[in-house]
Amino acid sequence: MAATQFEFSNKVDSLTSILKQILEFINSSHSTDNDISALLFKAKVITTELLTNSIKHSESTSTIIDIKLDQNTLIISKVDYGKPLALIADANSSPDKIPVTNDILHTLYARSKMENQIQFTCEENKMDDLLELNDIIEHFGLLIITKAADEFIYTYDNQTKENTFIVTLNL
Amino acid sequence: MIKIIKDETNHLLIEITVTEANLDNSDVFKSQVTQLLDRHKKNLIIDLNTVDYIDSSFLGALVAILKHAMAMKLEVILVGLKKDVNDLLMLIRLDKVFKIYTNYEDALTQL
Repeated sequence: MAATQFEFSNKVDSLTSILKQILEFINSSHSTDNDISALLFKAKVITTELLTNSIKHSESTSTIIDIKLDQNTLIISKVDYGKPLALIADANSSPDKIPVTNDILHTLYARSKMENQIQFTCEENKMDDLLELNDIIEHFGLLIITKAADEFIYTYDNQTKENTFIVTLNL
Repeated sequence: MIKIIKDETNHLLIEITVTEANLDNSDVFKSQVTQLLDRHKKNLIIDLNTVDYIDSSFLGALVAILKHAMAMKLEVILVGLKKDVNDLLMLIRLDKVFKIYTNYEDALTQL
């Protein structure tokens, strides 16, 4: 397994540089013979959104991104100390998946896996009413990560106040 | 942030002048393009050929602009998308709501 850690300064002007370093690490560390261009694209959009989320919501001056790569999976994880996602309270109190966003294109769901831990999933909707175009959401960060990932789990730790986002991609 | 390339009878062609379309410039982009729509009241072709990288904030701005144009019964067409930008729009199905063409000449056939 190859693993490394990157520290991001939570500043938008250093995003491209760290994104490049992360993609270079993945590209040089993988041991598969398959074409990994699709994997790199997914890693790029997921990492971009995780880092953008930190710029917007983290209350600390840096964010740690961990990259782990083995023969079967790529795991991108991020820890920050911003406010917990508001939807964690609703997810905690429901045994069912709860809709996070909904429009004619997608419904994004959060399902509680355990106390303070949720998994995001997504369903594509039938576009049967083009008049509803006006309702299309304008916040795509969680949707992009969920659709690009094979698994996307968020955990909030009440003790340490850590928000942990773990994204798994199958190779 | 944006440059007007052509101002024709029924449309404007504008080009985005940044390579990184992200939360640092998405609000300015949305504001500038919305003002253009209000002022010119013409269909809009947006050329993204300079854009290497786009994030969710900028995609949100594009959708807000599309909604603004639709309320004015105007079209917004995207052209010149690089592969990663096009792939991202397809990933979240925005290719279903935006008209996307390879280049300006192709887009003209739809106006």
